Amino acid sequence: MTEDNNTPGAHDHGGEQFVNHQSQSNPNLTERPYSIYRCTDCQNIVLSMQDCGDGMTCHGEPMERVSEYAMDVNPPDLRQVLLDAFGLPKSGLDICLCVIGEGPLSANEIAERLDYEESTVRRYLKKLDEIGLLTRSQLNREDGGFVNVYQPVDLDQMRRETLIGFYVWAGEAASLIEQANLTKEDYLKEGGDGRLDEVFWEEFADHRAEPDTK
Amino acid sequence: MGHRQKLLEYVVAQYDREERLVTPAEAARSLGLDESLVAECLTAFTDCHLVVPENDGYRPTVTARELLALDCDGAIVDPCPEADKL
Repeated sequence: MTEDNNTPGAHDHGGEQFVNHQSQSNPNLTERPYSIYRCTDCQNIVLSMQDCGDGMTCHGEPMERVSEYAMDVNPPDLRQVLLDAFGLPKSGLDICLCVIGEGPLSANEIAERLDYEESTVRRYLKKLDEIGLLTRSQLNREDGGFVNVYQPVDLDQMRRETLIGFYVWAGEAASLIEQANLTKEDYLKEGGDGRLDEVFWEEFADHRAEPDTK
Repeated sequence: MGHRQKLLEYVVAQYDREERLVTPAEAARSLGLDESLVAECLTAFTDCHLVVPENDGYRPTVTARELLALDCDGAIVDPCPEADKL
């Protein structure tokens, strides 16, 4: 059998590219910097950034740490994660990284350093303020009016809030996956009319994410 | 703390202590920085309304004092926040 695609592990499925990034066997999950626990009684699954030992419980009983998984998972790309979870493109993160531990810098200097338009820098400063990575203050000018000052939030707070924010996003994604599983289950139980693929995507018509055009 | 923050703190403290304008040369000497770098930073501070050039030196503004009072480790100043609305 020969592969026509140039990308190893890539297959064309009706115009959409299906890429299998992980050709080797799945790593042991107990060696990862996170832990996944499952309830041996119900379907509850928990993600933790620490090894909780027997401390993770469900129904008052210790949960079991998951060590293996069956489905191949694509390794996350940090840029895509930040874009999907927070709507923050690389340009926005670059601006955030420029300000940590340095300054005061003007918006114009940031624009020159990163080779962006000043209006782009201003737009991302607003975005970074909205998602909570920078805080904005208005300072008085001697000739009247004010200047905006953007400062990074405390690094511990940044670490905490980005993880919580990401968990919220992951929770929403997990809810969608669970809803998809239940849709399939309901279809089979009810012996539904129509094709499952049509019923399935109709159910999720309102959940389709619009591409970020920023 | 970066050299810009140190410079701004120096300008405010020195101006208040000596009650006279601060020159790039003395700031560079006191902070152990290159004079051209200090001059470049002071020009940027002027654009941000943090200092005002007068004669051969600079004096800090109320904006600089308010910025230092924020006690932040790094900051971006947008001196024309209404620019995109014009």
